[in-house]
Amino acid sequence: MTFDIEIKNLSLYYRQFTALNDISLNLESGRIYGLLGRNGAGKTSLLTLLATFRKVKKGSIQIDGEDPFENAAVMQHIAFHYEADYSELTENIKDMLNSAERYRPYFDRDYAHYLADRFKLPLKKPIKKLSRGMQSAFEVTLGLASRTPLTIFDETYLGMDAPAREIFYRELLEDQASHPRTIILSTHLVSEMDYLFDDVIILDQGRIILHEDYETLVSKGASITGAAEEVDAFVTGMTKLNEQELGNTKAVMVYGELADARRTEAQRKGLEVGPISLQDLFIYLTSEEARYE
Amino acid sequence: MNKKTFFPKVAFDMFTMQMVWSLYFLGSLLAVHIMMVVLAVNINDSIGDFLFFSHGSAKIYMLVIGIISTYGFLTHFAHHGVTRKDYFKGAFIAAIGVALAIAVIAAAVTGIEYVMIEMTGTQDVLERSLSAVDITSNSISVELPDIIFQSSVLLHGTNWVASLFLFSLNVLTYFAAGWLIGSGFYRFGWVIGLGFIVLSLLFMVTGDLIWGIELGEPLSNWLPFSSISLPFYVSFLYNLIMIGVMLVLIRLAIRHTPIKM
Repeated sequence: MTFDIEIKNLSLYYRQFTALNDISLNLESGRIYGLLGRNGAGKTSLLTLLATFRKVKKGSIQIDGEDPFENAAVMQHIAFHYEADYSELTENIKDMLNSAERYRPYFDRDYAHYLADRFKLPLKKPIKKLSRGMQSAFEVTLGLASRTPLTIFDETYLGMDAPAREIFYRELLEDQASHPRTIILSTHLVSEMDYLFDDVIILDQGRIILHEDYETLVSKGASITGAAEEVDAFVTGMTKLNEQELGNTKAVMVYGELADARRTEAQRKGLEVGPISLQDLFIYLTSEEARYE
Repeated sequence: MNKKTFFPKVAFDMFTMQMVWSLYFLGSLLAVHIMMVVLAVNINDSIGDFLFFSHGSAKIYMLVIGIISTYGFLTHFAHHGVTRKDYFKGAFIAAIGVALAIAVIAAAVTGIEYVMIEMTGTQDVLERSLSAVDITSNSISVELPDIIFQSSVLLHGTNWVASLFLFSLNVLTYFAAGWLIGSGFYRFGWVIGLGFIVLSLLFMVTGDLIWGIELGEPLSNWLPFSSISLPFYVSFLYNLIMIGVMLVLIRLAIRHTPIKM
């Protein structure tokens, strides 16, 4: 099973509101996708369709060449993790892991217990009594240990504190190396998660405005650091995404590929040329100015 | 690795979980019943046996677990990658199991009850025929199909299998009615959901009528008659068709429903 995903001309409307507008996208199996978008951009809408939580009415989604909706052979391999409401759930973590094991063919019980231990999750406590951060940690534990060929995390990690998120990122990369699957991470915590992504998809107002692999993407701009006057002179005429000043040193993020000649010129002037941050690029691409360019 | 269907697992899991609730339910019901028996013995009154006592409450209990089924389990199973169809099949099979199990447990308890009553020499406390029971009481919990009561389970021995079966069929009908309400709300929200309540009430009322259960206030005010007598097989057939129609409506409601998150 390759589990490649093909999305064609997908649209979704809630009454008059257009949540997704003619989206076409191919997702290759075994990669980690970062799905970025501002609030209300349509991230969750897209993910609910992919997860078959909602039926596609316009356009199509094919997973491994099949329509996944109500297709048991495909659906057992798709997991959708979001900040679920567990305020009524009296089961404890152990029960829930056991239940996941019954329905997920690749579930790894030892790994689940290892993760629960890493997150210091109490196995016997009713889930509704756990803090929000603990519930999130439980959700990502379930998501990683199920090892579903398509694993979707929709901002599951927002409730977790920084150390717990750090553990999640590390475990995600490690387990992905030994058990590759397609992972979609939807987030707006761009700056701390960017290194996880193989590919980046940016959604804005229901449209895909960018789908590129991470390396190519960050080469689409540059950060120029050096003496303030030199930097200012160098970036005149370029699209500035962000600038920071400390004493006489200035760092400016510019958008647009930097030709080799320009790089040499920068070096000659004593300026440091670095990669652009995805965060700055994301903010720029989804800003009002960029929309009308 | 690629299983095509999951409904047997769903059925087993739902049955297990709902049986835990059911045992709590039957346990508390039994506690109340014992208190009432003790009271009846002391004031020289008489009440129906446990099977009779539990029937009405079991219907309401099944109605409630039917109502919460879609909200409680559909999202849960979707989370585990189970199709709506497998949930639907599994939930119905589990409900049949629960309905049968409740009937069997209630009958067993009733059997023990008769033995105990016999041993303590307080036979008069239990009414043994329908005619003697005050069915004019308004409480919905003391209504029982004629056919069950007339067979007087475990006393007249001959018909007890049929009685258990009818007990189950009756509570299963209430489960389906509740499930229809819950699914209507889940799929369509509260405005159309209210329509599903009216529809379900219709099914419940006609279901009671065809088994010759007299309706207490206020439902009987809606209808030009308070009970009807039909041959057994007609009632039986009507009941099966009624459950079938409800199942079709439930399936249509949740077949393509968005999963609530």
